[in-house]
Order: sequence, then C-alpha cells, then structure tokens
Amino acid sequence: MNFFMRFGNLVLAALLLLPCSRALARTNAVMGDAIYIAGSTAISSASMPVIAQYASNKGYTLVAADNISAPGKIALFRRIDTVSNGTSLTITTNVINVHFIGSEGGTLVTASKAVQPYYPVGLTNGVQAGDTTSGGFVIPDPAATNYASATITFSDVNQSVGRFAVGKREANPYRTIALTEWSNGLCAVNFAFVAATNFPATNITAVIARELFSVGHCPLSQITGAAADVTNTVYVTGRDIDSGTRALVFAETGFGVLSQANQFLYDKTTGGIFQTGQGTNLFNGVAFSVGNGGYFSGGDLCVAVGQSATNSGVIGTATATNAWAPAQTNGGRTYLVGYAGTKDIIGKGKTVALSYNGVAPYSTTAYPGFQTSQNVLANGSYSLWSVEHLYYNPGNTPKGTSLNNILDLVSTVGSALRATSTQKLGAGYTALGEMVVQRTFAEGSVIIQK
Amino acid sequence: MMGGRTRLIAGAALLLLLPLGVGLLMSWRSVLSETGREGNDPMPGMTAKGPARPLAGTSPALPGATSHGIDSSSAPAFPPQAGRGGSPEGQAVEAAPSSPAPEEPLLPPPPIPAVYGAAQGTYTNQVMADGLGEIAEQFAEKVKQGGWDTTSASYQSNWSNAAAEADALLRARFGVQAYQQLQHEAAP
Repeated sequence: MNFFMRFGNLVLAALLLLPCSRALARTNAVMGDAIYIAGSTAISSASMPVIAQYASNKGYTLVAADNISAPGKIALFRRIDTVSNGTSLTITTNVINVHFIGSEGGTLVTASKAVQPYYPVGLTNGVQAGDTTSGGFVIPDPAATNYASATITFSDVNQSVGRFAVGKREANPYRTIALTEWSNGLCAVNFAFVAATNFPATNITAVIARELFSVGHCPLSQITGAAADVTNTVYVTGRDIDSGTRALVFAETGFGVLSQANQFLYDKTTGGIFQTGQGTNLFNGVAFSVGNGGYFSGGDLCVAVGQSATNSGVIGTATATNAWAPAQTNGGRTYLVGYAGTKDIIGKGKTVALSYNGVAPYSTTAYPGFQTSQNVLANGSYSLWSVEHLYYNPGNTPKGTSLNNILDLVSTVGSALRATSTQKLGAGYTALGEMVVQRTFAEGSVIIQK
Repeated sequence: MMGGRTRLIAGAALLLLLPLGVGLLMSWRSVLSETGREGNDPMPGMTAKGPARPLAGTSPALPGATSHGIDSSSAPAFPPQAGRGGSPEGQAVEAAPSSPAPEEPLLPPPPIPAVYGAAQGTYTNQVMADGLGEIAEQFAEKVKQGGWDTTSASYQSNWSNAAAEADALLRARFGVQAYQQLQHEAAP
C-alpha cells in the first residue's frame, strides 16, 4: 500500500478519536488487518453478499461501494478498534478492500507483486462511486491512489490453465507463484455465446468458435447453412486478457488460452465494428497485440452486443482509441457474436444466449432452468462451464495483517459459497454437489460422470 | 514481430527441453538394457511386440546429450511395458528359455505427453517455448513424485496420470491444433 495513504489514514483515525485520548498520556494509531480481494467479476454477484455478511459479522462497516445499498464489484469495509490500558490509547484500523476484476487479472495481482487500484483506506463513509466508464476504471477518478497487491482472489479457471500460471514468461512478464487453493472449488459457473436478438442463428459450435477467434470473422452461411448468407459476415467480440471468462471459453473451445485472438469491438457512436488495437492491459500493463484485446467486463460486452442489434449492418469508421482495422462488409449485413457468463447475459437488452454444440445453456422460457432438471450443466449435456476457485497467497499479506484472519475469511466465505444451493446461488451458477459430472483435470479437459 | 534476441531465447529454451527428452529416452533404454530385453528388439527403437516410445526429434548427437543421457534424477524414465520384463514374472520367463513362455497379454504402451513433440522444433516462439518447457517440467515432477522404481505400479500410474494432465494442459493453453500436431510428432 502506498505509504502516504497508510500514513494519512492513521492520522485520520487518530484525529477522529482525539477527544477521547486527551486524558491519556499517549495515543497510538496503527494499521491492523488490510485484506485485499481481487477477483473475479463472474462470481461477484454470489461472492460479494457473502463477503459483506462476513464483514458485518466481524464488526466491519461498509464505507464505500460502487452501489452502497448493494455492492457489486467494489467495496470497502472498515472497522476501527480502540484499546486503552489507562495510560495509552491504541487505535487500530482494519479494512476488507474488495475490487473484483477479471479472474486472470485477479490471479496476477494475488500471485505476484503486481498491483491494482483499491479504495483509499481512509475514505469518507457513504461514498458511492459509479463506473467512470473510462475503460472500466471504477475507483473514484482521479482518487485512485491506493494501489495494492491482493491476498485473496476468486478465479473462473484453474491457475495452471491460465496466462498467469507459475513462472515468468513472455505471456506473463511478472513472476507469479503457485496460489494456495481453499478446498477444491466453490461452484460451477455457466458461460455462453451471446448475440444480438436479430442474429439469424441460434447455435455456435466449437469449430466455428475456433475459426472466429482465429480469423475474427466468418460468413454467416457457415453458421446458418444457408447459401444466401454468404454475403453476410459474423464478427467475434470478446474479453481482454485479464478475463477468466475468456480463458475458459478459449480452453473449452480448443482455441487455447494463450493463442493470439482476433477480436472486434463495437462503437455505438458510429455503428462501427473494428478490430481491437494493440496496447497494454488496463491495470497490470501486460502487453497485447492487435486483435488480442477485448472488453474489460462481461457486462460491457453484453451491452455492446445488444447495441449492435440496432446498428448491425452499418460499418462506420472506428473512432475509439486504439482503433485498428474496421470490419469489412462483403456486400451484406454484419453481426457481432461474443461470450460471457450467463449471469451477465440475462437481463441485458436485445441479447440472446446461443446454444453451444447444439445445447442451450438454459431454458429460455424459464432460465432459472438452472434450478430444475433442465440444468444442462448439472446433467452433463452442456460443456461451457468452469469451476470457481478460491485462492490466496500468504506471501502477499500486508505488514500488520493477521494471516489467521485472512485464513478465517477464506474459510468462512469459501464454506458459505460451497454450501449454497443452486437455487440460492441464482441463475448462472450451479452448486458442485448437484453436478453429476466433473472435469478430469481443469478447464478444457474431458468431462466425465462423477 | 519477435526480435533476434527473442528467437535466440526461444531456441535456448527448446535446447533445454531436448536434453530432458533425450534423458527420458536414454533412461528407458537403460531400463531395457538392465532387464536384458534390448538385444531382443528386432530393430532399434522397436520392441519385440510393438513399437517402442521414441521421443520424436531427440538425438544423441544433440548438444548436451551424451550416450548415457542426462542425470536420471532430473527426468523420469519410461515405464517398461507390462509383461515385457518389467515384472518379476517376465524375468522368470526370460531365465528359462527351454520352457516356452505362454503368450503374455499385450498392454498398450504408456502414453507419451504431446509436449515432447516440441523436440521437433515446430514451435519456436517465446510464449510456446516457455509454456511447453513448463509443461514438460511439471510432467517430470509429477512422475518423480512416485519414486524411481520404473517397474512399480505407482510409477506407471503416476506416468499415465501426469501424461493425461500434461496433455490437458497443453490443449487448454495452446489449443487442439497445436496439441494434435505435437501429439503426432511425439507419438511412436
């Protein structure tokens, strides 16, 4: 943590309690537990309430969040303890600081000394900061002065499969260590391909998906089987390299997590579809080449796909930063297909979840088909799913923080999530206990009956 | 585009991988030699009852390789094929040539992780060279956990499990196309 932030917070805490300490000979303001949690966005709707409950049970107060009444992806919980021995007063500030980013990014900042922004520890109570939409930068801007590594992260994929597995390579310029996993998975997470409601097809196969990721586009006729669709073109959009959703989809379709992708973005201003430009990732600075970028969150992606329903077929000049090559028409219409967690798809306007290899991800008439015999994850007929993992790294424990308290949070939150039924988890997740299938190893490996 | 230095690093990484493969091959041959079976091979690299499991692209002439391979403490040896001298029963049959041994059931050869197909040098970019080397290292580590008794059931079990895991990891990270190509090159 930034030294000045820490110092400032301690001074703030000391000032708040100054009246109480006048009678005492000495006042000590110290930093206690600082528990930083990094990933993931895909599990946030299930994990944040459990973390909030844990924090409340431990006497923490919700200080700031992206939505103060129902924190989504960012939250700061704070507890100030005061201990007096008659001659001196010790004021201890403890925080649980949550900023859910993509699973891969979360793994990186937890398994290495890479950092990401968090709410400042001394933030005033009641702050509610919305997404500034500056590429997903969600901390009050420009107040993001608290950059820190994380101790705990959730991940949609096994660390060994992802970009930030152990070691240091070109795909991962940071030196990452093997994270410790609590138990063996929390729940299954459902992913799906998503298109705009005017998309003429309802299914994507793994073969088509690989072609789309590799080339970036394909004739619609290859998906619909209708020769007349040869002039219409389907472009693929996707997530950035911090995304666990991307890692899962690339692994499961057989494209490869570390393979160079050709993904496109949608510019609602011009109605243009354009290839992602080269750059470095938002928080961690990991470089990616042309086409290998993508959206920061599944929600952003689904919104863009939904918007393309209105403008599909219009090819404009890309105006966004990093714009590279605008999509080319072939005399017909253009369509945008992407992928996201079904939790992100459900409820997004003008989007529809596609079948994968001929199987719909959930019942469209009642998507809480997750909670019925129609749960295609549980019964083994749908393969675009992963197991949510809970990782921690004792080596990233900040100075002054109790490792036991970190382990207590991990154990309590992990146990609560693992014990939650599919119905309680909500659409998009399935309790592991209700799955009749499992993977032989990690994401992308063979699915077998338990 | 990859610079010359990066290519050099990629080449060096592959060269580091090669001795491991050569070591595997040498260790396996050593096991065959110790059990007296190598001389019965109808041709180098082939067993009496089926193909051996050579490492594609490995050659004793490669830099870093010796006629005895690398230190066996750092690389697992191929498990002997069941019923081919790896078991006490097989040795007993061999010691009594006057009494013809009953035909022993053939078991499939142990799976060669596709990552060893990288010895052909098909993939030379930095990301793949690093990644493949890492998978090979993990494979060796997992096999080693079962000890060095190549005739033991636990060794063979470890080998099979580690090979399946290495293949799954390769498919997930680099895709089915790379996996299939490497598997083809690693296969006998």
